Amino acid sequence: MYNAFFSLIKRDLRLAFRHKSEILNPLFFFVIVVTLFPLGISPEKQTLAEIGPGIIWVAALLASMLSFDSLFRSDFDDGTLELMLLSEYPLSILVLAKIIVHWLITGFPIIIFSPLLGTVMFLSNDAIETLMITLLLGTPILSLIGAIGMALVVALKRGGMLLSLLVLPLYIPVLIFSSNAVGSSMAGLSISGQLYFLAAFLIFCITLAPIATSAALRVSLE
Amino acid sequence: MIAENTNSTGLSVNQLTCERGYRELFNELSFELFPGEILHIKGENGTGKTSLLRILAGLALPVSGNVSFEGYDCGKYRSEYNEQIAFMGHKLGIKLELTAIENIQGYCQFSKPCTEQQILDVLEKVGLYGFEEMYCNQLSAGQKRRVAIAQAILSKAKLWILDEPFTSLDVIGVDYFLQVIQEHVNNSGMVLLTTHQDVNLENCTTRYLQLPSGELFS
Repeated sequence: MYNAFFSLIKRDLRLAFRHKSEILNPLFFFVIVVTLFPLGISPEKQTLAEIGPGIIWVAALLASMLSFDSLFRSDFDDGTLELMLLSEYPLSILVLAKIIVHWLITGFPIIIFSPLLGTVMFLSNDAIETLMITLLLGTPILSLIGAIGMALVVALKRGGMLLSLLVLPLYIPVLIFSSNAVGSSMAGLSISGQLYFLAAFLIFCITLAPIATSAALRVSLE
Repeated sequence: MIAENTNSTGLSVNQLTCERGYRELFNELSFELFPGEILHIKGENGTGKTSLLRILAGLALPVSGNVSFEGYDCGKYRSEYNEQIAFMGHKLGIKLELTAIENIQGYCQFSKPCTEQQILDVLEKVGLYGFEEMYCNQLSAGQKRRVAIAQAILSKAKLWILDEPFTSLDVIGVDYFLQVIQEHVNNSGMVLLTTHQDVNLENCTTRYLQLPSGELFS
């Protein structure tokens, strides 16, 4: 079973690296959206530092929304998803492997680039550190929740809009606690409460999202 | 596993009813398939051949009825049942961005692990010698079908469920695939297939199931 899990991760990463646009598009989107705000609102240090955490997090949410099509769509189109359903291994384990790959190719690059964008937004060093921690805890949640939504709409021709309606409301707690944590650390307040919440939410999602996703996939493929 | 019915050795389909969009495709269909047999499902377009195969593979649910394999209910023992079947549908499950070998390696990880040498041997058998390292988007439709055949062979499954398996294969490919099917059946395997071609195999028990009536004949 572990063999199936790790080899699926390896295979999906190989596929992603042969389709570099899958990795680069969400990342470019993320970087460009964030850099547009100083141009559109005001390049003043105080304004940007105030809205910076929220903007970076909203851009991360939208970038992850953009990338969900790559999660199950191509597997659905070419029939690999059917073979996954017919595997003797638990579907939720295989689904978890796919979600991990999705996070590695979309969430992880965002974390790497976030210090740069934090600097653009005049965040303090402490706040940048907190931003990275919240992204580290939060982006896997985005991938896990998004996978449930994507599994529900994968059989629909134009599921993109429906996916945003299903998934974005569920992202709200992550957005609130994360941007609040970054704001608090700018103000020199304690952020442990927010981080504990994010960590608990992450564990909740890791435990249940793969099960919900596999159930949704079975329904979608019927 | 606790045996529910130890007499049965093959696939047993009991009172299966299937609907698609409020239209009944077949009603209370029952049949059995034993090791060493081929069941050729016949019927016009839209009579539910694919739906039946998808139900038998566990991809879709029937309105009523059940399917059991070797005496065990397939819905309850899903992972044990999945171990015993190889399914080839209209979509082959082949990634265009991967080579033939990588595709089969990926498939083997879902079912039975196999060595690279085994994969190379089977690829040579299905007539893809020299194409092992080629990306599948450079292969023709028939060659992709051959990759899928190689996967079925390597799955070591007892029951093969094949939905229009001869699509886009050339004459030699069809003959070769029939030979593979015969070998599988002679090794006490079971094959369920739909095709509009005639399947005439010597030394094999071939039975026919006519849809939507559910009539069985030899």
